[in-house]
Amino acid sequence: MSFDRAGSRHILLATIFLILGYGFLASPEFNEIAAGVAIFLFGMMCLEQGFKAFTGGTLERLLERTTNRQWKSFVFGVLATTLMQSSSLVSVITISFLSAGLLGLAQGIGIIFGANLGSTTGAWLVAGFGLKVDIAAYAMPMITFGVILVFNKSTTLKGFGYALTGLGFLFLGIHFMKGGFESFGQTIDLAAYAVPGVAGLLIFTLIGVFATVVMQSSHATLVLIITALAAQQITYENALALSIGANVGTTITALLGSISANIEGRRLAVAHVIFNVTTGAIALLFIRGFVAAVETGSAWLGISPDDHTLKLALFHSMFNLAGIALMLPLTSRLVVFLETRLKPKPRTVSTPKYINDGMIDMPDAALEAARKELQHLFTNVFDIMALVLHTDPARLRKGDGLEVLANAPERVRTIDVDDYYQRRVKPLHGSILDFLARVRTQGPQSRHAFILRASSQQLLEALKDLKHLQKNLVRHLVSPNPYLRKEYVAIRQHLALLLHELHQMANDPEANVTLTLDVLRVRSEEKDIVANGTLDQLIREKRISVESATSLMNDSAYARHIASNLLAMARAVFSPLETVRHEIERELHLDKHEIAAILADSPRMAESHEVTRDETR
Amino acid sequence: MKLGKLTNRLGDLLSADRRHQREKRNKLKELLKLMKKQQKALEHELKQDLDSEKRAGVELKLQILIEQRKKGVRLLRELSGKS
Repeated sequence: MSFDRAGSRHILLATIFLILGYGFLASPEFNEIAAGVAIFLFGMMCLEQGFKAFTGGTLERLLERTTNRQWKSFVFGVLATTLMQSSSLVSVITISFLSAGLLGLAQGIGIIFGANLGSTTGAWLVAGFGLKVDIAAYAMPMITFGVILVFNKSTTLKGFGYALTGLGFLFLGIHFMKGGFESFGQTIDLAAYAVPGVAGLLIFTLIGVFATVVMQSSHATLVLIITALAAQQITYENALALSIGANVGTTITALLGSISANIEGRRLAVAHVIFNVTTGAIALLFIRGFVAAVETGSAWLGISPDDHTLKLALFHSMFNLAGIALMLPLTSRLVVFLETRLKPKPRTVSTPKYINDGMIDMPDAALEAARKELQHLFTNVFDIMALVLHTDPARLRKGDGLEVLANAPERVRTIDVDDYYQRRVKPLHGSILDFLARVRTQGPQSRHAFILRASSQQLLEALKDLKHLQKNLVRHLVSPNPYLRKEYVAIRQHLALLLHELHQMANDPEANVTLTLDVLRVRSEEKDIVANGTLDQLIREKRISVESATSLMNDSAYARHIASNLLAMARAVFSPLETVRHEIERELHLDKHEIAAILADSPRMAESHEVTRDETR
Repeated sequence: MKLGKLTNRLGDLLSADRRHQREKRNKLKELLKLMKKQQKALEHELKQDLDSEKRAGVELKLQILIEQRKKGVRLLRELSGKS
């Protein structure tokens, strides 16, 4: 199957090369137009690169903050696409964010609708500015200044450089296309091949779709259409059909981007296709109405009747606006339709929920998805730990019957931790590690990736320590010696309550993570029976045998390691990956001396001796 | 816009470090306000009739929060160049 697909791709590539090769030999003008398209596409790549480097995650942060309402998502889509002149980049980022669970499907759809409208500004820019001014004169200094800035060390300046170079190449590409079509007109009249009527409408729509699928840029297709129209190489009617085709063909980028995305990403890509195909169908069905509306609009805007390029830009905006006006109120229905028709594949607890290959190139979204996946891993580890501690995971999450934890369980049983680990933890952990290794990070992102990897290790260490602890826990939770039993009940209670608190914190976005974690750290230190003198006292008063004391000391150490590993993991995983936030949290956390000072002040450490004595009496 | 403010903005735009420091300062200010609110809430809770275990828990929380706030205020001073 994969061979067939690869084979057909090679055949397609060879065919395109042959056609282009023949075109280059047959016509120097074709040469110029094709080079113009190539330069234009290269310019778009530079522009995208520039925005990626220039924003350095700003775009992603903006996306997170400005998409809580659908109208905001829509405005974001319009502005981002207008600014970057690439709806593809906006679509791909949106799919990544949706896959990472950072956006809702309705918000994602809002962005895609906005991006469609934003992409129509390209036609206005080219028709209104690109064709009327000698843009090649601007292109050369832009490329020169841009390339100099690209060599700069500062990420911001480098980003500016790429964006400026990209814009320069876009202008140069348009200049070549314009020149090519003008010279072409002197030798061949392509307009002679114009097809009138409905047949022409359909044929040229399909050509528009095909050209956009090949170039993967509706912007490039539109520029090609506008320059050809300006040189009168295509008729106005056929240009309208081509622009409808370009609008439909542009969904190919989102469809390709969604192949590796999860179900949410795929739903968004389908929403994109539904919107663009519906918009295209409306434009085709009501083409006469739209043409009449364009005439009225042109007169109103002062566009001269023979300025077909600007009229084409107006037509492009109008049919997209009509599509948005029709589809925006239907968004919630569209969401329901997509959610009922496109169902996720059946998954096991160890199948990744958030990470997928589609976001490898978007390090910020990828790391956030990995963080969420680690929370998912924590949920799986939580279940196993709760079972080892003889509590029901669901009840422990809710906090039901926490007071019962102060007593020994009625029955004890050994849990096969290895079996649970192999089924519920190892596959998911492996997927996270593999994903983190492939994300292309740099600077602070690499540090975040490292921290996340270390956190996954800490989570596994905690589980491993609990497995070792289980051996004595099972034995001594039902020990006939009340002193020994009481200490193991305390260990179990401490760890179960810690798990409960961590679960609460992970699910409360308002929680003060820094405070809660330090409180849990102090509580954990208070429970250290070696430091608080309980163990010495039990030995001194001959309440437990020396052998039991050794076991208790080891098991207390295991409990401390478990708590400390879980807390370290929570520190990295339970709050969003914002560099500034993490830096502040790191500096506010109490260090071990400050914790020791609090413990020394605390009457609780001294009390613990008294309590032990009184309660066991 | 005044010239000073304009040069500050330009400086922020060109220097990632300056941008980062400013962002950190603003975020910390926001956080300290929240912490103060939380401190007041805990102090208010302590005035209520609580059982000894709950009281000990709230006291511990308050003690840690006060320590963390002190560290935060010190950090803010450093970031504002006042230390």
